[in-house]
Amino acid sequence: MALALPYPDMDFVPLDILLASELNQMVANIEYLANEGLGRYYPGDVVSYRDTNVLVAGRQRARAGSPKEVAGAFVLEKPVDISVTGVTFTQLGYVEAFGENSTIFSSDSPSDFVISCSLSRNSASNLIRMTIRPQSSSVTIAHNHSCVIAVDGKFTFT
Amino acid sequence: MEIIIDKIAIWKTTFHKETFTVREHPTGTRYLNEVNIYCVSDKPLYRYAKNYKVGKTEFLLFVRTFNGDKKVVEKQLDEVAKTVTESQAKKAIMATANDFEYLDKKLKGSD
Repeated sequence: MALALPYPDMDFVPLDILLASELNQMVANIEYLANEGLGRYYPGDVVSYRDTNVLVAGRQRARAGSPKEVAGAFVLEKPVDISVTGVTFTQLGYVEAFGENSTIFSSDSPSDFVISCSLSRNSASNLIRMTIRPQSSSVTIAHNHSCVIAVDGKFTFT
Repeated sequence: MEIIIDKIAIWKTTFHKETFTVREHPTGTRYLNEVNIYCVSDKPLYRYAKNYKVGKTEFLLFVRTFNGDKKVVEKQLDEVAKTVTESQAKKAIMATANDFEYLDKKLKGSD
């Protein structure tokens, strides 16, 4: 996933002499990555998504207008009980607890805590249900996680 | 690395939306001429660069020349690009900003 840099068309090769204005544009790009990327994201580095629908609030599903929207904060207005397919959760921190039917994902930094969820398996349909409970009103995907919340009302765990 | 006039170099592709780009160096740019003597340009020096692909590997060819004919230079770059092997291109994309490689190719008519 690439962020939309303010000056994406930087044109230089080795030994080129850059103008002051171009250096300013490079700084603007870096600044953009630092701010709009929440200071954590770099192109192709962190958050990936396969589908165009993401969960933004409650049971609503909204089309992702831009990668930034995906990479940004998800606001969960209330505990969400969803079952959707296509969730990819790459855990690079550590698993805080792992039970038979539930698990809590967390990152190394408490401020980066993403979501807690409980998993239950519907024996009839073999469908894994995932209940997401926000830790606060604003839930931010941590920098070292890749999370895809996808479409069709079903989760698959990979 | 120094600017060697008319010598074609290979590097990793740029992010520019145009595949073929031109820059003009100001006069006073230092470069090595064909007999490896440092010179200082007294007329505009152009840098041409174009992205290519061999197999699944993308690479970039660039050259600095006093030739201001964009189409002629592009055509010659295209010809040289056909001779680049995928292993050469893979090596180029691993390069850093100061680690490009001059190919054993020069712009025709520049000798």
